[in-house]
Amino acid sequence: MKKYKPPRLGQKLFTLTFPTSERRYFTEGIEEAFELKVKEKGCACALLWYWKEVLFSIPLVLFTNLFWGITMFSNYLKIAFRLIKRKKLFSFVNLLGLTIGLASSFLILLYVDFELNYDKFHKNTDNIYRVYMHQPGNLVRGSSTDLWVTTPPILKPTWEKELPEAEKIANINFYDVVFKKDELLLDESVLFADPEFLEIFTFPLIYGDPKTALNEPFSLLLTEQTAVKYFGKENPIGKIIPTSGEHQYKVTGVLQNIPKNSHLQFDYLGSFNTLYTLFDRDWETTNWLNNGLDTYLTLGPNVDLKQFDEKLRKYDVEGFSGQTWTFHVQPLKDIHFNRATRGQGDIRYIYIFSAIGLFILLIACFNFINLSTARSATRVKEVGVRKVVGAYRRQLARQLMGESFLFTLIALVFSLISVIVILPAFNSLIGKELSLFTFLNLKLILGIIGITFFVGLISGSYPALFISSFQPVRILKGHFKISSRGSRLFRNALVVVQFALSIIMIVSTITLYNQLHYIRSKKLGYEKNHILTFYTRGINRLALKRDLLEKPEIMKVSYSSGLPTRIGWSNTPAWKGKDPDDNPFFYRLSVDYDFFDIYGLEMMKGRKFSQELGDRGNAYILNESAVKSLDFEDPIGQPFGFWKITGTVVGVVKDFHFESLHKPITPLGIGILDSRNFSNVSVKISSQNISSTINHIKKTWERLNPRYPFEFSFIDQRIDEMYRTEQKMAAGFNYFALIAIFIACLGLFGLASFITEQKTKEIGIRKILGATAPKIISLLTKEFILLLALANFFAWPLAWLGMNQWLKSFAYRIDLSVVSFLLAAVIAFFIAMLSVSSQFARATRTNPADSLRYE
Amino acid sequence: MKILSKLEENVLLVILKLEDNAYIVTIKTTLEKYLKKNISFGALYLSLNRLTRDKYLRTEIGDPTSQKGGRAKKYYRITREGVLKLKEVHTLQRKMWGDFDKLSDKILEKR
Repeated sequence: MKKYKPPRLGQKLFTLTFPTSERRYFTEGIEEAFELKVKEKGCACALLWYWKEVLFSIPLVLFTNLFWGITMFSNYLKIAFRLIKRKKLFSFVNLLGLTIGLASSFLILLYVDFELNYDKFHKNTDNIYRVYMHQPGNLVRGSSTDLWVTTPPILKPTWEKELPEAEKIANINFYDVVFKKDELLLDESVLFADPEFLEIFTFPLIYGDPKTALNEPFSLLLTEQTAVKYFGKENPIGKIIPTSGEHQYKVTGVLQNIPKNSHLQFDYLGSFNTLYTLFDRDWETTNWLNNGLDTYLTLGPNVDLKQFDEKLRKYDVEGFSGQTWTFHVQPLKDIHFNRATRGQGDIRYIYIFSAIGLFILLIACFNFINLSTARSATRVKEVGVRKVVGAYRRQLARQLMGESFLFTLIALVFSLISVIVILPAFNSLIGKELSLFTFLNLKLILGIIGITFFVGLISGSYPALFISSFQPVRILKGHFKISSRGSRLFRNALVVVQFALSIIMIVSTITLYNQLHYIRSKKLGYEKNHILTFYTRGINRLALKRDLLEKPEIMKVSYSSGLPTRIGWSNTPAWKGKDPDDNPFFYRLSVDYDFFDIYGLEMMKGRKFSQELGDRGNAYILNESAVKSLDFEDPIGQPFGFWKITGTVVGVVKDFHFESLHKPITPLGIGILDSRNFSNVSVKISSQNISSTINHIKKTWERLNPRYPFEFSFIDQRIDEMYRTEQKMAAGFNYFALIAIFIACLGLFGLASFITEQKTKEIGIRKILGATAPKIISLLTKEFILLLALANFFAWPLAWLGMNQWLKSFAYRIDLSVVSFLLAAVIAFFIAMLSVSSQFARATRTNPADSLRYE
Repeated sequence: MKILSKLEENVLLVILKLEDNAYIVTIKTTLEKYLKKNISFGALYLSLNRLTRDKYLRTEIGDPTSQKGGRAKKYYRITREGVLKLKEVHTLQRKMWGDFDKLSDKILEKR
């Protein structure tokens, strides 16, 4: 006869119901009974019976066990709450420390989660890739990378035919369109994309059909916020948006707003066909160097990336400079952090902030450990009595662990509240849009639970082990001395670690600020005050200049292709004796006669451009780096040009920093009066009556170019913008360093109050014997000073290593100075002393008669 | 004085009846046979546990049997205290039920 087995799951549940000691007999029992049932009534009946047994047994047994568990638990809870009530200061310090620690680590968790989840909201994130080109010898402007995220139009049709692995391919291209809204012109950046775009990426539509929305030329999808801007809340499908030109766009869909953690950010999504119609250039040339598009594709789930990459070798082309240029694909999820392909994220900041979060958490945990072991003196009696009455050590440990978890849970509630309150401020600080709710996913919840659990466990572990080890006989006889050597050593070690971490963070903050100050105050080589800039947008340049200069506060007006903060244009230079295979890239700037004066650029050799001497497109000025890279002995009079020689060098300008100080100065060639490219206006104004001057400029603009809104920025603002990341980072760092040292001091404060309590008698006796207050204070603080010194000893080398690493990312940087280390030590010392001295001072003020009388 | 629940009382009685063969399965099946209703393992566990704790039962790990995979069973034996307790319950019950026939007949005859 076939032997029937009871159901697996049922068996599991059944065994779990009973306590370990009884489990075996009962599982065997139910199996035996099951076999009987099978024989008696058959399999199906027996199975039903089995499940009934299991389901009836579970609640019965569990309830009874739980009941006693809860009774004990409620006792623990009662004791814990009594402790909180009785020792208000201790509890407050503990809770505050834990709350701040948890809150700051949650903020950091939110930030890290946001960054790490970049582009992960797409359904097939793992299969999406972006095409990039490796172009040896062709450096991307202003960087040291030769990887270009750009593809030729021919790539898509070719790959679609020849590469079956590539399931869907979509080209995209950003292009500026001037839309007309009522009478206003809006110059907007539109993302033009193939119909496959909406299949590859998950950008859900509110209105419209994703399958057809991008088919017709001049189809336009708006994001929700943009749609509201144009049409309010109504369904805009089929509505027309005119442009400044002859074309008009038809709205075919509305997208949900683009998640902030997408590397593709757009408000308008147009059909790629539009571009074909707009520019009847020959799009499908055979030229594989006709770059300019971005291409995304999905690969099948089983495609081996390496093999696919090898297949792409078929499409290698010869680049401008003779080297082989190659195509590659990169996974979507790598885009954000890949600096080589201009990813916006920086994985280093993720590491740094995670480390800070961990530091702060550890400091908060150590606080708890320190305070509760210190406090344990007051609890020895409780422990002794519990043990005498029959508590196992395990039960005591569980109780103490439970207390730390209770504290952590209370802190969790407070910290979540404070995170919600602080988040807007934090967002503006770091320039992101984090939210506890929109990003509340399972992982984040697990993260929060994990952190809370970690904190509870770490901070509960030592007290639980330590306090539960007391021997009841010794406690109750009264011979017990809490400050045993080992535990004091341990506490001191924790204080040292706390302060070492704090000092590291203070040093880092100081260094960060120094470096940023250095950057901001470093002579960039050009004038940056009171210069206002805006785009020309096709304004009548002569009229603008004439009208502006009417106002005496406006000193100079200059047109140029770029600004010292953003040249944004580069070309291959031509000079005499150029090797045809050597094609370096020079930054290129085209200016008018006033440019050098307005920015106060200084000349090394030769002269500035001069109207009198008739410089017109045939004169060039190079910067020092360019002269160096071209190896000119005497640059003046050398023939020079871009693409081909068109003039001569008339002067050499001193190097100025036209890029962020992360990068060294690179070659620059400045030409004159190439007015086609004059897209920027720089206006030098006097420092008086600035607002009326700006008003004048605005009025002039509105008169000459009424259809565009007037938007301007000061040049020094633009410089600041280049260091936005560093500044945000510094600000974030600053606050977290403050928090760290604050929590550490909370702990110190608690410890100091504990020590004074313990030493009440000693202080009293010393006072009676004639000790002065300073003497007593120095006696008490001696130990703390020693600890701080030790903390410095450990912190300095670590801080030095870390900061050195960070500074290396700047081409122009400060040297790490001893001063910042000393300053950090002094700050830590003062704050620490401030927090302990109040307690010690109180101790010395008490009347010895009071402190000694109580026995 | 501890009060036995009805189930505990019955469990004790069954174990008494089973003599040497009282282990979880026999206890359960016998009980169910007498009471004509299902007694879950969970309920049985609780009663057995309580009775053992109160010293009305003692347990004994039996010799490994040949038929049941060689595993030992846990046998329950009633103790002296257990028997005394049952006796006590029994006398109590007898007193309570003593005049039952007479009184019940009186009510039933009235109808």
